[in-house]
Amino acid sequence: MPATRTWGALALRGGGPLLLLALLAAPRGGQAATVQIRADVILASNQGTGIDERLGAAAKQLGDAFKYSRYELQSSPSGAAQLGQPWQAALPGGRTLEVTPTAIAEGNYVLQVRVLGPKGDPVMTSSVRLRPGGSVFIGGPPHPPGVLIIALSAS
Amino acid sequence: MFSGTQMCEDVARRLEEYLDGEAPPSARARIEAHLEGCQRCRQAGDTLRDLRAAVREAAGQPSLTPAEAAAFWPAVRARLREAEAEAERRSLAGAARAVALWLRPAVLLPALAVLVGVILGVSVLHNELWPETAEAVQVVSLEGGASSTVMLMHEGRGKPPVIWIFEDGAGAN
Repeated sequence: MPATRTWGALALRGGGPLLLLALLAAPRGGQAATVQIRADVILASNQGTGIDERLGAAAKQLGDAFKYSRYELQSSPSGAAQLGQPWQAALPGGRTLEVTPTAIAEGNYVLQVRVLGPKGDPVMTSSVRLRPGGSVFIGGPPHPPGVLIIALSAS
Repeated sequence: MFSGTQMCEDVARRLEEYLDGEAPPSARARIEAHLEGCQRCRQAGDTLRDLRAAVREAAGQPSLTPAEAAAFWPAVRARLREAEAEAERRSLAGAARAVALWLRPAVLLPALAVLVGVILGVSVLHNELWPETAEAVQVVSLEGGASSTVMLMHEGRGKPPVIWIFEDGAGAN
């Protein structure tokens, strides 16, 4: 969040915590009420070894969180969603990832996240509060030869 | 027979002996006769006599009794201890006055307000400048579907939470 870093740096140089608090408490009207969403869809399995280099920084987090021997990036759908408007991405196996921003407050995004089965029935519904740059892993749906893991992030 | 200068030298050598009354009578008479006529030797004799008198007087001053000598250093040490204790008392009194000053509401309340402000400011500043170290993700609610169950795993601060979906008996990692 470059704008926040800039204000924070100015306040730090200029002095007083009170000035900083005032700046941070001020509404950030310049921010559009849209959220950039990105989902890295990963096939994790124990067939073979290796981590897809396209996964970048997520590779280490995957290695820390799971014990699969191979992680392969299947797709990286991304898009912008306005408050209250769902954003959808197709997942392997006829499933769907649906993300709806429900609030933007104090630099956090609140997202309603659903994974829908092939028949459109929800298999998971969650409300997640993310800081920009934060991510959450959603995994478990089976997909040969392993399982799907979705690294969901917002900015 | 001595010349004038030789006599002066002889008197100078025997002067102490003369003043102590230990000079032989013949020498004594000769010295007295010389002192009578030689102003320089007479002054020298007077000076030496005064000096010896002063030394005798100084030597006659009373010294410390054994009891006083034995008590001298313990008394000095006791005085030193008293001085140190007094300095310590003054230091403690100063600290007590400082504490009392800080405990006055007029000082304490603003100081606490500043302290709280600083702590709050540092906390906010930390989260704003280094958001990656703050809690980046929070799963507010989670539920499964009709044919699935879900589980939330969170390894700890700084690591992304994991939502795991169990579909129709599919296993976790």
